[in-house]
Amino acid sequence: MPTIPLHTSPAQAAVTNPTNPLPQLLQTPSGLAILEIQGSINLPAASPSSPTISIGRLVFPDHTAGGSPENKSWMKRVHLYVGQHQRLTGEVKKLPNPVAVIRKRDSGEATAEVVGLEIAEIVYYKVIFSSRPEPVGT
Amino acid sequence: MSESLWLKSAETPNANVGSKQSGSSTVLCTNDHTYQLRQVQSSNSVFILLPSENILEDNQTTTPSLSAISQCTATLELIPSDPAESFTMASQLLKRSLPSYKGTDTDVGLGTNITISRKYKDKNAIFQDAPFSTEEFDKTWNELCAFEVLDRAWVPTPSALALAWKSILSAATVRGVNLEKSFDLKSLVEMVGNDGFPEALIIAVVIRLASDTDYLKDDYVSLDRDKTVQWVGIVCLQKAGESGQASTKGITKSGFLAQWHDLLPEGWRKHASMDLLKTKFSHSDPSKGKIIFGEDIYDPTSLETLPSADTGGKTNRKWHDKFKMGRK
Repeated sequence: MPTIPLHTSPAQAAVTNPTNPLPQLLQTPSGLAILEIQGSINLPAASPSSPTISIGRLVFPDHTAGGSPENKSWMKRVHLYVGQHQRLTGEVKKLPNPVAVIRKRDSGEATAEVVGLEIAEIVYYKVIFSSRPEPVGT
Repeated sequence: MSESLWLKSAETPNANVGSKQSGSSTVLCTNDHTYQLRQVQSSNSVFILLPSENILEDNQTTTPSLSAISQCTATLELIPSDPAESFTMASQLLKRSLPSYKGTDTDVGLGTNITISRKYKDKNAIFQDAPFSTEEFDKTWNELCAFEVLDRAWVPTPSALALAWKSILSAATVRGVNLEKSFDLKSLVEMVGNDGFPEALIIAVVIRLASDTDYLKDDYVSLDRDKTVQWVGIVCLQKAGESGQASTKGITKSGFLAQWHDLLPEGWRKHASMDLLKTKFSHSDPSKGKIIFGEDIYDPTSLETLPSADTGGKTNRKWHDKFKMGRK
């Protein structure tokens, strides 16, 4: 059928997520956030024993938890430590247009019926790394 | 919140309506707007992050962390459609995909012929395949006086519309109903029904001309003077371009004005003026002063430069295709 519904809110209320470590500004109701890298991350093949691979640490050096929401200077500097020896420097940017994250709707039942898509979240900011990685000592 | 967005696409890529529209024919619709989708590729790696918990080496304590749950190689950008263009495309789609109702000779009720009946669709089926929002589609539907009989949708030709309107007008005159004031829709429809027009068509015409959308309040309806006068003029013009050879097509201005006057309730005749039809007509044969409805005139400032012909699916486009060929 050429018409597919796009539901504006998720079918299931977001489950209580683990603590969101991101600065308040980047937090969304469902916890989804966008991270962009000009380049790619080379990952080792995932092993069945540990399906997740740790990349490194995301650090907002100038951000203070209790800081005034007016003060946005912290957005200018974000570090992504990749592995032990590399660091990317980037920034938090407001997206020129908000981005809707869309996914297939989970009907909760095993039906073959098309239930359509849903907007999981609308994201307004992204963390972007557009410079080359720099070497850092451990 | 309820569902209010729809991703839609035309039935097949070939059914892509817009000649100007290139690329994807998938659109996103709200109730009243249509947005074209443009796929934007990115060479950057874009990750969707979700908070998670990282178990430390001691297998006891956890720290808040983030996991990339998805990588997006492309995003879809929404581009608002121009409502006027949507309207043009929607009416082309309806005219192309619906059978024409040509008058009381057209059999709308007993089409038992299976090979023919496959092409019949009801309004909803057409809408499902139409890349337009509900409101835009309904507006176009009403504008064209499209109607449904026994779950089959039809688009009346201009001459069928002229005949149906004439029939409304004479029924009203005979029964002393003043179309310039509000009247009982039901009894009007009954009166006209004797002439062999489907009730749905008569209602569609009345809805097209009704002065407000609340037209069925207490079964009484009143027609909008300006809408009616202009519409009757356009129908007469369209009719003039509908049939015959290119050379005999068209109508002289005086002949047209006489026809137009005849088809208006008496009190409204003085309002018929060519000014109402500005940009609606073109000269089919300037030497004889013949005029014709110029459907493809998008740009009100230029009557001379008609846009180049639509390349897609023109097999059903009858009169105005012939008209275009006649111009070459």
